Amino acid sequence: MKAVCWQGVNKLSTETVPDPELRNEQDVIVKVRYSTTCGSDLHLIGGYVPAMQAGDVLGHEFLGEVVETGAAVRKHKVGDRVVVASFIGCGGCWYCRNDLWSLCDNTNTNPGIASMAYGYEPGGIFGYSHAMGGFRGSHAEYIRVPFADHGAFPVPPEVDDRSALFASDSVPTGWMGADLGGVAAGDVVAVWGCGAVGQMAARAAMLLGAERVIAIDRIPERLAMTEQYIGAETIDYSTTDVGAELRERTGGRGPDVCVEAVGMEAHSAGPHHVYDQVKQQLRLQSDRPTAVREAIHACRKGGTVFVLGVFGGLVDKFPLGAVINKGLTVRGAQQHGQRYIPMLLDRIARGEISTAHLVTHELSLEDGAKGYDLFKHKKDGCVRAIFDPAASA
Amino acid sequence: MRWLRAGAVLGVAVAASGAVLRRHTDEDDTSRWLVVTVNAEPDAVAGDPRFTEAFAAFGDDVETRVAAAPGERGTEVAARVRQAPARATARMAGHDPRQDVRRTLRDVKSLLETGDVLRTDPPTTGKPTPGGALVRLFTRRAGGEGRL
Ligand SMILES: NC(=O)c1ccc[n+]([C@@H]2O[C@H](COP(=O)([O-])OP(=O)(O)OC[C@H]3O[C@@H](n4cnc5c(N)ncnc54)[C@H](O)[C@@H]3O)[C@@H](O)[C@H]2O)c1
Ligand SMILES: [Zn+2]
Ligand SMILES: [Zn+2]
Repeated sequence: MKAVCWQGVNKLSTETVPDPELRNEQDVIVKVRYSTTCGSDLHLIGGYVPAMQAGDVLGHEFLGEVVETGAAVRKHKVGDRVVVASFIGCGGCWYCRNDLWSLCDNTNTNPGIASMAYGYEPGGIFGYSHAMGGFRGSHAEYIRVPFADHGAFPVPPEVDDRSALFASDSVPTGWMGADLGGVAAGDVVAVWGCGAVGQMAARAAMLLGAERVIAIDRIPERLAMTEQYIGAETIDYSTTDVGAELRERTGGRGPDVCVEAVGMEAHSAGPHHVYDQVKQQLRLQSDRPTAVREAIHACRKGGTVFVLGVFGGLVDKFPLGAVINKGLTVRGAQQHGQRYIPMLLDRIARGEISTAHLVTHELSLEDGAKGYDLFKHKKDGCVRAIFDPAASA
Repeated sequence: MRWLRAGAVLGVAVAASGAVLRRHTDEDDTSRWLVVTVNAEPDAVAGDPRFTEAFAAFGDDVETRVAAAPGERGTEVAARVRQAPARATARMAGHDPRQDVRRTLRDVKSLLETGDVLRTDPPTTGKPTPGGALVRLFTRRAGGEGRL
């Protein structure tokens, strides 16, 4: 079958690879209907995440049709249309039972690597390096889905494929940021980043009762999209002093909850950017925490900063003083999709969350490298390039 | 250049844990118990043949003990190798008996919690590169290493 493969730092190609096979009794094989690029992939492609091997198949946000089921699968049958959580959860460990699915104890098949870096390893994820289990990704015609009774969810008939696709990763990630960030009625919420994840976090904050939601980016079409489809206010950080603007819009208090949806390759206009980029390239720090720093600074006293953006290792100039002296709660997580996906599919079906607008480019698998070039460099208004394995170039 | 970069990235992972590793003088101390917590009742764990048989295979080389975890977190299953510590070279070669014990503890936990031990996908046939070789070495050892 065809698949989009990582071949080295900033090198992708579309290859013919062996079809997946059932390897555990709780697996299903899914024929991929759509698979989307995600900001997290950029960190792999740029070489910021360790333990990639030439030939690894990328992609973790997808939906498709069940074509084969393992002997122990109970909830799915051949022909079901399912959206699959990007993290793999076993359903039986303490973490899965406590709805902390991305922390599953039993799905990272290479626990030694990430536990060395982090103290304990997170769960497995599709297409996200050998440090996260080495599972093949979804930018392919078929994919094996382990523990399918827990990670694959039937899509309501009224939700079309393009809308359901993002229930795999972006929508639950955004929802988690607002939910675990503790957004409550009457809050003012600021969101850094107007990619798919930031937009979904902003929408979640509104649905959880926030009075005002302010989203921050510099890309004009993403800011416009966030206003039009999400209904949030925006700030263009390339032309506005974000801290001053947030103070003015919040009666001088600062946002109650700040959600960071940018990640380790954050951009900034100031001299900090050059400093961070040089340090990152020399491997003196692995991540550029520009937006996290700004969020911590802008947040009101006693507020919460939720880090949704992915970071790999060490950052420099982390404003710990602000955290303790302002009494902040700083939290982060990889997404616990299984906890939210059925509820979110229902909300998408009811029209409460718009997702299909995120698709700006639809390509074949042969155009894998082109899709990431559009997405990474935000060319041609790209917000998400998605792949349709049934299309050929 | 590319494999240098891959190595450097793995290096970040090592650097992140550096402070901890340097204190790990007890790494060679075989009296240290290796422990996992299984999300099941102690009676169910202690009597389960998937646990007893997995460790029976080690004979007298490995001792085990089972205790209730606090706060209804399940059962702490501990195992310890009785023989002398393996050298670092043996660890890299995958001949440290503690690697087998770690892997067995993880497998037993997974079997009791999920009924299965998850296998990853076979690698697609990528071009062999030095960076890839490093990753393969790390992943071959990963099931038996890590902080446990
Ligand atoms: N926690 C999780 O489980 C999870 C899941 C999915 C994605 N993510 C992460 O979320 C982040 C966003 O993902 P995405 O797909 O939306 O990516 P994306 O690249 O499409 O969006 C990132 C946006 O951040 C903007 N940005 C860059 N620097 C900024 C700054 N200093 N201030 C404000 N905005 C800035 C960019 O212009 C861009 O629009 C990534 O780091 C990704 O890895 C996390
Ligand atoms: Zn993602
Ligand atoms: Zn689990």
